[in-house]
Amino acid sequence: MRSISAFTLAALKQQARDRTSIFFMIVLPIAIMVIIGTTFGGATETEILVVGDPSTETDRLVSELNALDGIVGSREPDEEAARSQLRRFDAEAAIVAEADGSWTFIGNESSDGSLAARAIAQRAIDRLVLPPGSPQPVVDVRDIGENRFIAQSPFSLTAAQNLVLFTFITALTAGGIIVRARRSGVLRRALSTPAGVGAITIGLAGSWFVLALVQSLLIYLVGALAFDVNWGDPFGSVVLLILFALVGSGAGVLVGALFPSEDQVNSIGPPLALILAALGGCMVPTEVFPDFLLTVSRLTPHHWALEGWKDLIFDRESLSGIGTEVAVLAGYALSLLGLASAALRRQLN
Amino acid sequence: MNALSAHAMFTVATTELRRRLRSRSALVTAFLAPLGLAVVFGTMLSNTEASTFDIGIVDAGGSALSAGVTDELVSFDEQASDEQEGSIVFTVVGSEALAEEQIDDGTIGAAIVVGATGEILVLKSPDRPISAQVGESIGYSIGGSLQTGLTEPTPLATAPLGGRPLNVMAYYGASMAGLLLFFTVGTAARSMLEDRDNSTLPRMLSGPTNVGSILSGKVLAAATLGALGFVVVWIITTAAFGATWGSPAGVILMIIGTVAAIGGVSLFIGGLTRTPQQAESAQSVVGFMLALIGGAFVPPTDTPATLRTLSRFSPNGLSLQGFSALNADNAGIRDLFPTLVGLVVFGLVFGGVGLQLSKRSVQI
Amino acid sequence: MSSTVLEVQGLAKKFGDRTAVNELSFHVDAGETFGLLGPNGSGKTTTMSMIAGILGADSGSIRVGGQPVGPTQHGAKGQIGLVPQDIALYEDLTTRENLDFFGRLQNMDGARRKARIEQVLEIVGLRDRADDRVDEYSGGMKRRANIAVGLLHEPSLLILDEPTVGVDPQSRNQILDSVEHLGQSGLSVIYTTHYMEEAERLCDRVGILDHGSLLAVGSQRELVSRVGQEDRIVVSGVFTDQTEIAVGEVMTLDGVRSVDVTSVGLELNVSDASAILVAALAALSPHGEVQGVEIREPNLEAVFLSLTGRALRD
Repeated sequence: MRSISAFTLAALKQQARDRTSIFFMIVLPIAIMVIIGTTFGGATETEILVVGDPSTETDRLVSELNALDGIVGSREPDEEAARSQLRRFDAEAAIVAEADGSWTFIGNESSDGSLAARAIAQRAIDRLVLPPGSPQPVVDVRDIGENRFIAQSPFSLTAAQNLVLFTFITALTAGGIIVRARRSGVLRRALSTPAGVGAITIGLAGSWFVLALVQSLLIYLVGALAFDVNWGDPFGSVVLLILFALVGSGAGVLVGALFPSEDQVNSIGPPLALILAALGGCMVPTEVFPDFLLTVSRLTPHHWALEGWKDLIFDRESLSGIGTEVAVLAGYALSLLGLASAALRRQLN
Repeated sequence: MNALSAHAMFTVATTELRRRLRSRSALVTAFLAPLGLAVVFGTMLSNTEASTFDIGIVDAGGSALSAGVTDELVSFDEQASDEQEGSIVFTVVGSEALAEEQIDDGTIGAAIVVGATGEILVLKSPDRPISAQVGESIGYSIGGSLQTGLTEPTPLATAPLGGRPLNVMAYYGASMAGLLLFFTVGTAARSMLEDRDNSTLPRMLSGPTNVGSILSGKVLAAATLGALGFVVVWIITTAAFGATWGSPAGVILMIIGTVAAIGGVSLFIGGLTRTPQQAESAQSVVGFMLALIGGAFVPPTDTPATLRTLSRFSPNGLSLQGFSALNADNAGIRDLFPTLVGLVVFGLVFGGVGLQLSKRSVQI
Repeated sequence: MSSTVLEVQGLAKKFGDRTAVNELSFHVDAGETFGLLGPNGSGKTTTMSMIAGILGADSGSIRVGGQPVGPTQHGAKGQIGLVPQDIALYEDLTTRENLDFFGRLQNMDGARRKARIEQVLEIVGLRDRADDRVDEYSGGMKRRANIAVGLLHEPSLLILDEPTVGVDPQSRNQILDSVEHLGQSGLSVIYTTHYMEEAERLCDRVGILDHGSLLAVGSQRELVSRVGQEDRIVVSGVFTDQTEIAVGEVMTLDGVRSVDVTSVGLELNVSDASAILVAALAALSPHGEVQGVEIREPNLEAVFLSLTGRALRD
């Protein structure tokens, strides 16, 4: 037991000494949350252009659009310029005031948002028959699930995505430390002590686990305190945090055991982690994935962690409600740690 | 620069290039990683053209009014399906509880519940933000038409956009190649620090050469590799994934401008650090931040206005604007001019200071 | 009289407040191997960097072949071959590729470069492995490849900065052999080390450096005689009550300067230990039981100790 903790401590000290990695690990995820948070304001903003010469009608349309939540209406005199903005996704849709007084809608057919934009445009035009300043129609909008009376922070999804993405990235890139230890013979020397390969793996994984857990806790807390994210059931949260930190540490040690050089870990680690995270749904919600990609997504631990968090946050599930996710993640953690131990054993013998 | 310095610069550049091309990790960083990321992101998001949104309709009121609204929506669906392929599909769902269940299991994306006197309730799920947005806007639209008392909506013709919308694969190709440039071009400053540490730099300096020529050689090699990586992403996404980047001459100019801008910034960052490890982490931190601000990870459809303004201060953002103009507007070289100037200015300012810093940091 | 290859006059260098090198003056003649002996941190590497023209001096002058040397003075650089203490090679390239690279930087033209690469590979004995990457080499082979690059452009002065640090005994011997061979071939060599036995074996003259100052310069013999060191014969044994008589007996022998009585026996200070050993033992044996004899010749270690009051490897 002592030999295990000796490893954990030594590796942790090395990790802590690397100030820039600490910066990478703590500052970057928070900065990303802040940037995404403040620029998106949590909700997407849709810009709709009104094309036509200034007139009472077009002025009114612009202000009707601006009166709607999450919609920005702006004037664009030139139709070709408007089309160009749409093609570049710089604006979502355009409403053209024709010379004969009729209206034409232009949307980017390849954007999902254009469907919603058409409904919005219709609603704004319909309102032109009402006197200016008429109240908006009363429409009740509600999230499904148990949480119908709990206001959701608009950051909830982003926070969960970031938590999963960054915990994994850090764990993976920190694998370079193991490569260094392996190549310098430190690990081989450690083998000559009574500690076995198993103890060494557990010891190393222990420090990665602490690292991953500290980082995810940090994102968890910043999410809760600064962005009002309600992470849901605390027991479920703790189990998810621990399991995903275990998955990350298993992956980190595995990478450390397999890669021939530190340089390779540093160059291959981040893009690999980004690809896995993207596939797992950490960057774009999986609802837009085509079916085959959704199948691929289910192969990543990220997918399951994220599903677990969404159940906890949005559906107010308790630990028992995320049984499948917990089981899959536990399976991932066990197999990654097992593989890492086997790979390390092969490398050291 | 005299002939001797130029000779030293090219000698360093060719050797540096040979070493990078021999290292597997450099190949991954320069070629495989941007390609892999571009393909994953491109595939993930190019799909939006075929997306279908299933919206459930619940007639909760059982009145003539609510039945009328429900019917109208279903028939709207039938009309719409003629002109637009399966964009929104309305399905009648028996009850509010059933609708919640179907949203939860993914059968429908959102639901609109119509009450007896025309009260509208939209049910959505926060983990499907796009369906939620569609459902919500339709809900408001119905609410609006009930309020105005219009039996028929004001005619709103739909005109096709025309031209070619932004090609998502090409967009992500440029965005990911730009992100990875921080790692490829960043090796110049890092390699200087490594050479100082293992004494190859003093050894070079014991010959008839100086720090400036050696550093320029390394920058030249790194920039060449970065540009090659960009070109490979361009060719492969075009040939294998049907990406449309726009006019080749424009693409080549944009690649040069992007390499100059990002190379300058990464040289600057490298010059501020003292060890190769520090340089590497600092470059990745700054690289990710600038790429993020530049909109590299955000789907182009979702970029909010604030981020678009902010992105002009990031070389990645500036570069993406140029590539988007080429890609979606078929922009010519003249249209690209302001962007190119911006990129080159970025490169010159940061690269110039970076060269000085980097020279200073390897003083023996 | 041989011509002077390197002339160092009043060389000084400070890093901030710390004086790294203080008023050094010495010269190296053609074909001479000059040792710079001093503990770690004594200023050896700083001095070498200035002589190689990498580091500018605060004051003083360095001339190689009569031409001034400095970071911006490239004239004499072609005459200097530097072998840094580290393996200053790109380990991901082969030795031949490294040689080619540094040869190009030295501005050697193609034909000469090609011919010289073969020659230096021969000299360091790496011809068979020239196309292997340096990171596949053993420590000793890396050291030899490191030396090869320094020799490539036919310098008249080779600077070897601690070339045997961290090398196994066998490779070390190989390196010392080749340095010895280079010295004999007429090349001038500056050899820095903190191993006195290397300096003793290789160097015609030695400068002793401590805290940036040159304490003494000369051949080993000169230095030894300057500090008044003599051979010592250490005799361990039991002389009991006859000790005084034994001391009196050996003192009568020619060449014995003094005798010290120690806890284990006697120590004889003599002019030439091997010449007097047999007679000394014959004089001692009737007065006690001699259990062991050891001859200690004076060496640079003793010189260093006497000059600084410290051992070389502190």
